[in-house]
Amino acid sequence: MTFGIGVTLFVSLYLVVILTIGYFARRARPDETLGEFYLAGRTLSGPILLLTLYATQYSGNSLLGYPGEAYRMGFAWIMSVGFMMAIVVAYLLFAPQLYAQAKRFHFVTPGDWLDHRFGSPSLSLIANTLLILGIGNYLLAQLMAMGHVIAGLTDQAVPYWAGVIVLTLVIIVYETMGGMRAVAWTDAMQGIMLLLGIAGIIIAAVPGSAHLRETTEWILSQQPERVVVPDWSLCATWVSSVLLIGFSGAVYPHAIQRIYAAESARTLRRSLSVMIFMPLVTTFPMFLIGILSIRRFTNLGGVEADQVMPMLLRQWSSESTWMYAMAILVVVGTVAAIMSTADSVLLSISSILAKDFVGKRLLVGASEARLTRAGKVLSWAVMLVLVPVALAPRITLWGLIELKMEILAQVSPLFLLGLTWKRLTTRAAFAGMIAGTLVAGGLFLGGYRMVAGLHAGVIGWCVNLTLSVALSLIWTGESSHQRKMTHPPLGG
Amino acid sequence: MSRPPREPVRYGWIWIVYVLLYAASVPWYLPAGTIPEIWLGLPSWALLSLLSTVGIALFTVLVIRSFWDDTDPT
Repeated sequence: MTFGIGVTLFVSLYLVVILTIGYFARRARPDETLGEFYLAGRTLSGPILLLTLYATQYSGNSLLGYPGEAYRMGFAWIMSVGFMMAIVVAYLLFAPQLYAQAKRFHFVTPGDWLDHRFGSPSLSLIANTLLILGIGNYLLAQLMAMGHVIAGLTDQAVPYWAGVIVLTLVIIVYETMGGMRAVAWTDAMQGIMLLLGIAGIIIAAVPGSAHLRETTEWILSQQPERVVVPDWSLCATWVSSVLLIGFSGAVYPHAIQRIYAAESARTLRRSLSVMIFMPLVTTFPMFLIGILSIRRFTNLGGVEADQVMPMLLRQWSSESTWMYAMAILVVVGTVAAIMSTADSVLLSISSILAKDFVGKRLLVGASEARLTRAGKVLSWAVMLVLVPVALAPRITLWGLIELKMEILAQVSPLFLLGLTWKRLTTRAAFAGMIAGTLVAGGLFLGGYRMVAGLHAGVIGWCVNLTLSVALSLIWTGESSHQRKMTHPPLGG
Repeated sequence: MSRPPREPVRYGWIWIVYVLLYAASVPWYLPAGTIPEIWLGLPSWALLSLLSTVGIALFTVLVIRSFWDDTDPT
């Protein structure tokens, strides 16, 4: 069986399985409340929570974008292990409080927390818009990754556009059938597939130290800039990436909703205790794949480098039956990683649009069942907008991630300071967020994506934090923490 | 009167340790452009960075186990 046919067969089988899971999740859903549809009734137990956190956090970007970036940057890309850990470290700052308050006040969306804490519809509107823009971008990256992986692995037998459209349809069908329950259950299976796929990569490709040494010496002789000690500018980018990914990744709306959906604090703690090790078994092997590919495939540039993994898999598949099987395992794991992130992001966008935009502004007082139905329609609408954009990609996968992070970073102080510092006032938080967004957006759009090695988003984030703290100390008259809620949270 | 539940954010020293571990993971302390020794197949600075991240992971487990109380809200 050719590799292309094998990929098509096993991916099709996988799609049938997850659609079946979506069907059973629909049957298990007792009602149409927002808490049930978007948070699975707040009953995510240990293994499911861990696997859904894992499958959501590690995406097509991790499996396609990261080897490509290691290929482009060289050994300094080992920074990816630390910055993925930084997301879990950032959770330790605010997740205990956020979890406790979400249980107490029945939050469904990140906007519910913002309303509760700041009581400002304008602040919530801007923050929700930034969240939607940020993760909308992320969803777009997943759609592109679907097309790349399917087209790349079937030798274009299944074209890019077909990969995007077919996988999008599968996601939206099981998501609108079963909501978070379907997403979490499929994520659990996708998380297992991802782990198996990575095990396949480790068995098939991760070299012993002698082989790795040989490769490193070859790179040192041919392209020494990828091996020598990085300069100060790259070290600054390293630190900047830890801050940017750590604080932005921690406020992914879909990750925050998994904190809300945890069955208990113990479940959440245990899941995060395992999650902290995941970069070592996920990001690090991807880094090694990128490094090994420097010698294996020379002179790939720009978007081409994102094809490193598909090219490698096709090579393995022709080496032996065992390697063929490993390659198929990796392909299904990769597709699983992409889809599990895309479905979670889509569900989160749908919840924010339905509850925070429609429920609090257009259909005020509507029943939860009606808002849930509106959310399903909005999921389809979002995909109808994004799929055409994904069909004409003009940016690398990593470029899309950076853009997303620059935006999300400006919302993180609302959670970070809002949950840990009672003196933060609404006006100060609002001013900080606007200023940070203007600085980050202005620099990014003005072509200054990096300034002295720092990301535009990190510079904006520093302005944001500084203003939020300074203005809270100056404008001491208001204690927003004491305010009454203007929008009592819906859902249970 | 019961004490408030323990949370990592209340302990300043935890965050100092994190800053130190992250500082150790970035090779700012070595002269830029130096050709490194190769340890276990990796440039020495990359291996040190990897070991620092292992330290971050182990420390995080300690923090979660010892400084984050389980108490669920009633």
